[in-house]
Amino acid sequence: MQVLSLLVHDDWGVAQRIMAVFTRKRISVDTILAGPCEREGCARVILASQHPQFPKMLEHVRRVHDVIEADYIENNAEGFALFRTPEGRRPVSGKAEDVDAKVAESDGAPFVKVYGAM
Amino acid sequence: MRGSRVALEMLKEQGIRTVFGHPGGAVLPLYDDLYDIGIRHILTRHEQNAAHMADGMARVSRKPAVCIATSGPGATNLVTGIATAYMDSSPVVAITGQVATSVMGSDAFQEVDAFGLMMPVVKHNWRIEHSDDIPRVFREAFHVASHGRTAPVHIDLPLDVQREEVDEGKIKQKFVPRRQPTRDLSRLLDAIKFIEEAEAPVIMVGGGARWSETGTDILRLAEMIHAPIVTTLMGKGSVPDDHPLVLGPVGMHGKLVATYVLNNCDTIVALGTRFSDRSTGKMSEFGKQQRIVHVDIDSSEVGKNVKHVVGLVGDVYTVVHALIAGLEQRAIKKRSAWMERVAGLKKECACDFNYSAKRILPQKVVWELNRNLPSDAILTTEVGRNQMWAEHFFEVRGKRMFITSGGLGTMGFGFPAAIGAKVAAPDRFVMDLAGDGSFQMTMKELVTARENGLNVAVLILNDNALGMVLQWQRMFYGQRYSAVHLGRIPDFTKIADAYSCEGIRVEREGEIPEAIERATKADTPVVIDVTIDQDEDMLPIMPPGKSAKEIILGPRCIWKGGETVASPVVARA
Repeated sequence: MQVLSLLVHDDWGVAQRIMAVFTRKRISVDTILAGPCEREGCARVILASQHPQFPKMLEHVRRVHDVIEADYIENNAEGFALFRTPEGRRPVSGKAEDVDAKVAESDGAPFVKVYGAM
Repeated sequence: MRGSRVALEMLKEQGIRTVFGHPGGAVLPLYDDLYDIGIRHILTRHEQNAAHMADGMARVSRKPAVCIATSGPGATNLVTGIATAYMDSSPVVAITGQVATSVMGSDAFQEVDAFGLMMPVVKHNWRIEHSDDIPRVFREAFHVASHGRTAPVHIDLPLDVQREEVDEGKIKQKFVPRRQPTRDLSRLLDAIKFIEEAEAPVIMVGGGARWSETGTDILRLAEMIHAPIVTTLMGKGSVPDDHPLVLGPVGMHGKLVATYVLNNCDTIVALGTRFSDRSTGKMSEFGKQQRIVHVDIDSSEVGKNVKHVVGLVGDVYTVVHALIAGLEQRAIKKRSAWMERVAGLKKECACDFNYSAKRILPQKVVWELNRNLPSDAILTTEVGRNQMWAEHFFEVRGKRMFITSGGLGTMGFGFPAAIGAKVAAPDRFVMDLAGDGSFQMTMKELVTARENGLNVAVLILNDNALGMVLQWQRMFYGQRYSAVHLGRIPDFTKIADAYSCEGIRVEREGEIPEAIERATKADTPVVIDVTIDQDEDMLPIMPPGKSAKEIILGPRCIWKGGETVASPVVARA
């Protein structure tokens, strides 16, 4: 799993522009984490993908006009998963590998999973 | 001042004197201000052609040019023209009207998501929500279009934003560009080392060199390091075709000497080319025996198609000067064996294409163009066999210019591009070398040329067919000619007449020089309809997905395989 961290201007269409870089090259992105950050008018976008071509996309992503910074983050991804169980909502967070293991254990319960890194 | 007026003042601030466009409901305020603001507006009959005209103008002036359309169908009609500019890195600024912000998203009349549609085919685009943003966005749009890798941009301007007043302070506010072009010359010494150690270097020139206007310095570099020069389709014209070191175009329909030398050298200095598969042939077999220095203004192109390169990121002009400065202090090998070999190979490739035949041959037409066009003529082409005959046989020398849709390959581009070129260079003769299929796509702009005094000429190589497709069906699809025959309708001279232009029919090769002469002296646009032999294929061809080893020469090509000149140079791993 490779994780790409982006600092972007939060302008109309920024998410569309970033995803287009991968869609048009047929590179599947597994998870997307996006939200406000400490800079006004900016946002952070964290993408995670297992696709072999994903690590080669740095310059293409940097070319997007809304992108301020872009870098691959090695080896310290956090995972977050939210399960729906008969008892209610169950969040799980921690190191990416641990969250992956918990997800693998759960049998059929609806869930969503995302990776983050800084 | 209301938003639409401020927008036009921003255009004037950028030096825009002419715009191309077509009015509509969503741009009424803009057109109301255009009425008396002192910008020339050229009304086209289709918005696509407004984009092509702006594109042609930008390619000649190397500055941004503007096209305007209304919302909905106006914007969608622009998309092909903007995509054409995008693929060839041409700085066109597209302005589209949009429905008012209050009704946006409700599927209003003539509403379309122009912002979303343009996104994939522009470097960046903006949808303005408040009129106060107009000054900043317009200044930023021009900055983005003209800095770094030039490219088209798009501004979507809703109706209510056009009508809204703009705060004076925003107009006066200093503009700070969001980003500046990057440069990376950290590997300059590696590049210089490659060049010094080369036994058989070649310089490969692409469209980037043309945008950077670096021809003289590239010649200087070539003479300095004793390297011949080959060009891609988009690089054609950046160096003069009559210079002894210039071998001609490489690629699918390139000259054999250029392709041979590119594949049998040991070092390639690539300037402003993106190694498109049309230029390299089978990518997996290209450049395997060469050391490659890749100079490009766009860092994402370096190492994209050809991986094992020494990359230098910057505009060709700056990097070539840095290379020359670095090499000036060094002793450069004479490389006379290589130079002699290249000169001998160039002779082996120099066929006399002044072919005479019962039915006019297209090579003969281009031969006549070489002889009879002024030394500062601008030639645009359409797409297809006409384009490839022009690439292969037309001589861009002196102050001549060559303009073609290489990246997107848009049929119908050449004629409106010629009109736009004429606006940028009114004192030069501008001609579109066309096919009968391509010309029919945009010939309605004859009226635009006529009523604006933009007297360009069109020479149609008329084979009554979609010639390139027909050729591929002949060569690769067992002669199953599917939907390629165009017949003898329309009579292009009558079309010219209907548009109050001059039409000349040429059916014998002796009539060609006189027709060209008449076109250069005419005071209206001229359409020359030249009937050519439909069976004449454009050869040589490096078939799709094949390498240089599998080029099909055809019956006329005199190339002997590069074996007539001795002393081969050992290829370097």
